Amino acid sequence: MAEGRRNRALGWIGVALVGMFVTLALLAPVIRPYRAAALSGSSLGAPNLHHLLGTNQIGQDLFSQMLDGARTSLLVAVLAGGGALVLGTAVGVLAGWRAGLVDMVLMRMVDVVLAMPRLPLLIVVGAFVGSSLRMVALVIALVFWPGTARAVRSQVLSLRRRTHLKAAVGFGASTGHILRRHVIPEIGLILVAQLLAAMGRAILIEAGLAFLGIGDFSRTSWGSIMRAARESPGLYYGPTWLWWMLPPMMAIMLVLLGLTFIGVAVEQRINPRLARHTAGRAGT
Amino acid sequence: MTAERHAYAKPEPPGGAPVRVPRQRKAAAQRVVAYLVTVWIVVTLVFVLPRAVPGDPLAVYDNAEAPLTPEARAAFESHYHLDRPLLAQYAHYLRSIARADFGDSIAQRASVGFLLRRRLPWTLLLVGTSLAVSSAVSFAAGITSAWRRGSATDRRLLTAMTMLHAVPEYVLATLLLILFGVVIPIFPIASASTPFTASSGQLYKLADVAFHLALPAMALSLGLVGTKFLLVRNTTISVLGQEYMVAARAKGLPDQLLKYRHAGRNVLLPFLTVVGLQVAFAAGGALFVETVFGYPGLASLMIPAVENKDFPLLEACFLLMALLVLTVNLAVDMAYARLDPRVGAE
Amino acid sequence: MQRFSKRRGEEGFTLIELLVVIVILGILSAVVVFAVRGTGDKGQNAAQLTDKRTVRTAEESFCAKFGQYGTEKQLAGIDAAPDGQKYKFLSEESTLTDVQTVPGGKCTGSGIADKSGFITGFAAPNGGSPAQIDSLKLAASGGNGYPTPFEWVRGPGHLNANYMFDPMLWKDATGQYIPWLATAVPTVANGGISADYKTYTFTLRSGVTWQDGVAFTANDVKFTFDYQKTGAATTVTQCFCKGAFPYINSVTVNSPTSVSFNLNTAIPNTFMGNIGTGMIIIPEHIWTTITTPAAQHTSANAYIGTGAYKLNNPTAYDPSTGVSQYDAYSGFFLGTPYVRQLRFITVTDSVAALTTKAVDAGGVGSEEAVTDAALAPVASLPKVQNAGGWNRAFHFNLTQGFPYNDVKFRQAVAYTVDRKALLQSIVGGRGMPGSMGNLAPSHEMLDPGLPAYDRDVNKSKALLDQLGIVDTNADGKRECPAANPCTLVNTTGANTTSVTPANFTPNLFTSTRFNTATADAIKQYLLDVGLDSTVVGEASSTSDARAKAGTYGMMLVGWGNLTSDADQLRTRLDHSYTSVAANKAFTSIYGWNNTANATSFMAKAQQQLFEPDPALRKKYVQEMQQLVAADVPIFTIYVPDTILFYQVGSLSAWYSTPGGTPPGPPGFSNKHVFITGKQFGLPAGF
Repeated sequence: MAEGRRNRALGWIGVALVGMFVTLALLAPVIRPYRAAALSGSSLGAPNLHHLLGTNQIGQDLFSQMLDGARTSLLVAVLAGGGALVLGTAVGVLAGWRAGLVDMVLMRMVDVVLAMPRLPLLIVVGAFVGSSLRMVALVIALVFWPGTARAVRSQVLSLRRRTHLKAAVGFGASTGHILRRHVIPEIGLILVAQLLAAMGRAILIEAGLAFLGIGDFSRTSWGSIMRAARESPGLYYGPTWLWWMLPPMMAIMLVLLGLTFIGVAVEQRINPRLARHTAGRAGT
Repeated sequence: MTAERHAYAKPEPPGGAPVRVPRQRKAAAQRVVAYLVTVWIVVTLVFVLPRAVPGDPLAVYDNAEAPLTPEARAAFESHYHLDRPLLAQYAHYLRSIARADFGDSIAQRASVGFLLRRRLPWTLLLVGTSLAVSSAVSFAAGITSAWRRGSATDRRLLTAMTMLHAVPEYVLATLLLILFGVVIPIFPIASASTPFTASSGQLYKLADVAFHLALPAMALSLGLVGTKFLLVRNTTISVLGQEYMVAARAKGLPDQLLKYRHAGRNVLLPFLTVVGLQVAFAAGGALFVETVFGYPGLASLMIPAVENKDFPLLEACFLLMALLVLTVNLAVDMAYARLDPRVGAE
Repeated sequence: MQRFSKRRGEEGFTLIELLVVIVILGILSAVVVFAVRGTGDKGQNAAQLTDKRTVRTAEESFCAKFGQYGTEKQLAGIDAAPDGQKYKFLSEESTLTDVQTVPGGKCTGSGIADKSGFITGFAAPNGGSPAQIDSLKLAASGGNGYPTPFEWVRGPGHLNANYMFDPMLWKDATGQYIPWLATAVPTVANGGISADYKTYTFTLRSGVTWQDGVAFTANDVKFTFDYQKTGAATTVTQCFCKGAFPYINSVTVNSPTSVSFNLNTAIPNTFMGNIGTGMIIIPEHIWTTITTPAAQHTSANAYIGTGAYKLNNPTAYDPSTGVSQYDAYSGFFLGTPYVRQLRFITVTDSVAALTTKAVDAGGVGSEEAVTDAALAPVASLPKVQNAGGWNRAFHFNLTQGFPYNDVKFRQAVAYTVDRKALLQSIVGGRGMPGSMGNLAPSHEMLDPGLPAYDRDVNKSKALLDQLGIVDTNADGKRECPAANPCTLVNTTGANTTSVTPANFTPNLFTSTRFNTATADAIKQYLLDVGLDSTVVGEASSTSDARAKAGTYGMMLVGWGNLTSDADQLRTRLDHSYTSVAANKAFTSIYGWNNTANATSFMAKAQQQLFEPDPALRKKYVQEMQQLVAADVPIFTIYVPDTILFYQVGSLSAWYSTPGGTPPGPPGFSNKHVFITGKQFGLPAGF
């Protein structure tokens, strides 16, 4: 089908986009021309050969800041996205496999968290536990695992009914063995899709908190660059926003787009008929 | 995520399942119980959170703001009943919540209730408008897209919506602000109305509010439209594959009728669920959009409250948002059960 | 599936088309707004003008007949006139809502006199200005507290309170004192000041009433003083007058219009500023029963003064945004103000607000490096630009121990900061780098010969080395000596932790009300000499409270009254003054009493306070600045110019008060210009 081919192509575009950012983030210490916080240039300098993306108000190199921001985003994606995935998978497998009361209690928890406005919840919890990047990542993971749990549970439930699993149980294989050898491999692609979505959300939320001015004050992130720009009056009446505000916005969009594209391709593999059904980010 | 729930509600021809009233009533009761449990969890979370943070519960109030004197501390503790056993505190807290008494904002020196009454309506207006606009757009576009699956229109819509999916609200809002507020200065870029228009006519005031609402609502709508579009499109595609639809089409029924009466009706239920779930999402997105446009909604209370460590205000904002979202979800669930009797029998 | 999409030719509507629809709807509502706004305003103005003319004629007739002004209902023949009869001077009562008159006010019978609300004595400031301004829209600033006498915070809050309340003297664009509630500025020559400068007598205007109609008398002045020196407001008052309290024994009421201040020590240099303009007079009949003066903002009573404006609705004042509306008080003793309504509205971007005419006047944030390109949209607007009095200052709290209490450390920090570069990047070059003497560079008593502390990384490093704050583990960052651990002041308040060599990363506190980029830049400057630090940004109220409580080691504080009387140095830096709880302010410097220079400073501070000879006083003040520059308990980073743009056809007499708007805060919101529409003097007849 043409749609399938297109979706696969999209997937490769996504891999390229995300790969580019990951590479830049990993290489940041090597390729960034200045220490991101260093006062390396004039105030609000336009892009030039020394400062590829110009400088901000106090003369910090924005290209270097963007690279450091990429590292922050990558870190959050791994910590929060990974955390949400692990937690969600654990709960989902447990609920799906155990069923009964355990399932009911766990799914009730999922419903509760899913029903809450999650950004406000994040803000409130964050206000109490502090705004260091690790805390932010932890709280994001704690708030965003239920989606994964629900998706994994439904897969496990359908797997349970399959004959080869029933046979394995009948032969007396241990639960751990069955989960490791039969269940996890079967839901691998689902997990990849969930991880992609969780990473996207984590990046979006971390940058959003920094954008609102309630993220980690001591760390350069795409959100904190945007916030600094936003607070400069008359920003949009001059050319400054083109190199101060636009790059972090473009970077966030491109990364999220890349993750979405990969997600579409993965969905295509899981369920060719309904690709783009659940791909992409879900609600904040 | 929001799209998962509908996956289990398989569309069937209208009037298929028999109506079983007692089961339906039982299901409704279950739903209300679940709602109450969730509300209780949220309310309790707000109670537990400050007390679960290690150390002196007053430490957060005892910063440079005003180094607490012993008298002030005693007064504070007795006001919040912190000198009493935890259970008594909890009972007092629940009573206050029931009376909608949220205490006083520390930084703003005004009662939290007073502040909420002034800011909440703007958030409701923004969220309500955006949900309505995005629902209408996504419903129409989703059905159109599914109807012409594979066509250029479908492809274009699908691409646009997938891309839109990847743009955070704060980026959307900022871009719209630059585009329609500065580059092409059509719309105001800050606040929700022209201040002090008490002497102007009603028509002017209404138009003024709509005018200020345009960009924020557009930003939030665009943030909400993608999920629903994909849902409508995919559900419609599966509905169109059903035999009765094929039969109806073979009978030569007009397209418009097929599209909106037959297919649309079946998409409506899962769609409604997602709209309900999106209220939570929209409440979060509104915080971003309001911040960008200086819209005087709850964000203008919440964000400074975080900076000021103004916990009574912050907690009340969250509590209110959560309760509103949960209540809307309950209403949607109930409506769902009404519209689709099979739900009671699951 | 393809069978459902066979009509490819027909275009379904796409996202783009839907967007277009939304945009069109928006444009339509915009058109409606503009259309309705245009006609509405015109119609309203025309109606008002007609009303006013009609009412004026009616009032003149009423006045000629009865010798006083009538109420609206009397004019309309609904209520009886003083002679018991009903006369119809006007056809309709309903059109009179916006007319300013003082029913029952005395009139001369020969046309409209001073109290009618139709002020004739106000000349337009310079050609082309309107005869009066119905409404003036200004940018609101939040975080200034409620504008009651005891709940305002910061200078702008004090100016707000001054819309409702008055002191006895005020200042205009000359920077000289002008009579306000008093009829004349007391001098030795006119007998207002005794020869030994120990008795000040103010003659007060007669016929002044509080906004609730009660007469204002000398008793209110005495009450205001007593209430704050020994009464209920003793601990909460933030009055600019309290600096003079220790030197005033008592206040004597000589007559309802005469009041004397009896001093134990002459303070010829500060009395007028502190008491004359700094003490806003409060009504005895209201406050005498109030025992918690700092918690009255919900009571309408707390806003009743003698002032030119009334707060439209106390509960509508939003302390977080400052959004508020002040309406002219028609019974004001200088006549109805030139600006009939002051409206403070939320502005997120001053350039945008000026460009879109959302405000009638507004400054560009003093700390914003707005580029000339960004200023282009407002470049055509008229503007006023003056040397400023606001500054961003680097405060040390010496009571927090080592290293903050060591001169060498403070000097080392001062040597790292490139104040000229910060002036350029943060202030856009529109201002002056701070003087190390901590007075405004434009201050008449400035010592121009002070050391400049230009950035010198080597000097800074050498000083730190001398202190033993060196990099012992080659991580590029300095550690404190084991024998002399450094104090870290943490974010949760007064509690401090001693640390030994491991690391020294003190907090650098700053308010997010001001540009946090300054703090980021200073962190980098400190890193250049191996000093690490953590920038802690806090909201305005938290940050101000921290500065006032002294729960910091190093802090960036923004404040403005660098142009006010030089006694500011004493009240800010003199340990014997700032260590008194009631004197603490967020501008205070604590604990500078540990060096010979500090002792010398405190002595000079007293000398200048009592010295009547201006030349000699200037010498003392300059010596004080030299001591500050030597010991660096505080240093000013930059002093931005004050710049105000205003719309053509709006208020044009704007000025920045020399020496600060009484008694100190710089800026343009001097109520004198709103009341008179002029830069100098009082309305004709006063």
